[in-house]
Amino acid sequence: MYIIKILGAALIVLAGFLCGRYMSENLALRCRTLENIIKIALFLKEQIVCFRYEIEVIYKNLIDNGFDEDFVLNLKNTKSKKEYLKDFDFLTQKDKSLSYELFSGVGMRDAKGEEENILVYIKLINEQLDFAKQEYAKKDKLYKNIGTFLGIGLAIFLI
Amino acid sequence: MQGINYKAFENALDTVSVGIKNILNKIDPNVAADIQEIRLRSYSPLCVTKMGETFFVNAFGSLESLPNNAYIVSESELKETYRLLSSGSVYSHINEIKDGYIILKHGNRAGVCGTFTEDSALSHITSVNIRIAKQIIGSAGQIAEIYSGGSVLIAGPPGSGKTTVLRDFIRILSSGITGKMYRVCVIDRRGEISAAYLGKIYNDLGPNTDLIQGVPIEKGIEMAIRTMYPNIVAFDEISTQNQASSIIDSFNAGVDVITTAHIFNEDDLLKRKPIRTILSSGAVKWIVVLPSSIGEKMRILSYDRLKLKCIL
Repeated sequence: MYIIKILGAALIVLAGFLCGRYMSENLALRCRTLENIIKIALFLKEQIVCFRYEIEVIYKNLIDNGFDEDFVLNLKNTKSKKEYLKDFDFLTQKDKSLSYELFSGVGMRDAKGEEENILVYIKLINEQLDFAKQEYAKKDKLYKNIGTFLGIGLAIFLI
Repeated sequence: MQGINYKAFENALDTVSVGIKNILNKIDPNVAADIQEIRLRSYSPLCVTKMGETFFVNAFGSLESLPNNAYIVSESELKETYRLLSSGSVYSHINEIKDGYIILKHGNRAGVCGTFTEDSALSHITSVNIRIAKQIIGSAGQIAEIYSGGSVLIAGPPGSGKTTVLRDFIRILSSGITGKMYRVCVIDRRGEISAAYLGKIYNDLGPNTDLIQGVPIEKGIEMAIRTMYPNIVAFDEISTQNQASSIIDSFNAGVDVITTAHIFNEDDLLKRKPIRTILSSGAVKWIVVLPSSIGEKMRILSYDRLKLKCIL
């Protein structure tokens, strides 16, 4: 009987830890995604300024250069602001909004205008990335510990 | 031939907004195959040019000679069309837009009007004219039959098919159909002859043809003669005195030129200064005058002692 109780308690603690880790990983994922958006924006700028490639060609080049195809297609699909990046729950509304404005607005200016516009958005997304990194540094351990302690608490309560 | 022409019309529809595309798609394919231009103006009736005449298109895709029932193009449809024309990449067409046009796929070309800023960028678009390019194989057959070397001027009124004849003549010369395979260098600033788009040439210009794009005609002639050693340099529309001088330079360098010129009647050949310059220099051996209306025959002339002499 004790063994079952101990096993049950261990499982509850593990579940709590995993919940905390999941929340912490979302923060890490947000940082990585914002970094990728910045990399794609820089690639976009380079291809526009240096080569004047059409936007469809640039997206194709992005995929050919090893960027994740699904992610590129998600960024490119700016038909509806509401639906934009809807599966990316770990991004904040502001992250999505900046990305939407960047990718929906590209292509309607001359090369110099495009460069300036992309650089502005890179700066804004970089600020978001800095916040995300700070949040990750602060909350990574916190979430894991809270999850673990809640699990322990619940296990004690149930035992 | 109608199938090819309808395909050209369909290709042009890829560059107009969905609403307008749906209407134009309703036009009878037999009628649509003859459409030369699609004209969109903000808050104005949708119209097309067919056989040189303007027709208004109603919401059911019927062509009418009066605008009363015509479909009115909205500002948003025009904006959407502009986005499609530039493939969502204005920066890659900016030099063309500054000159008032956009090169499209399949050799089509869109003229754009609106408010140009100080930097010659287009801030508000008010009208678009999409010219549908059609390659007619064999349209220069009559010239090829008698051609025996020398420069050629293809002249005719707007819409008479000068570029079409020029394109076919380049194909014939480059293919060796006349008995000699000429090295032809085409200077095609606006992409109308070659239909080149993103490095791909959509029109058949023959196997022995080189293409120079994106430079002024004068510069293109100089580049062609210096680097490509052609037998013939070809370009569309001589319009300036500098171009006339370049043709004479080319003639002096032993390279023949084939070009076109806008005229309304044969008298214009001697009235227009750039044309008169090249004729009087002896640089042009053949003058092809295209008819203004269907049914008339093209005339082939030579210029001798300040007079035009009819050959065919």
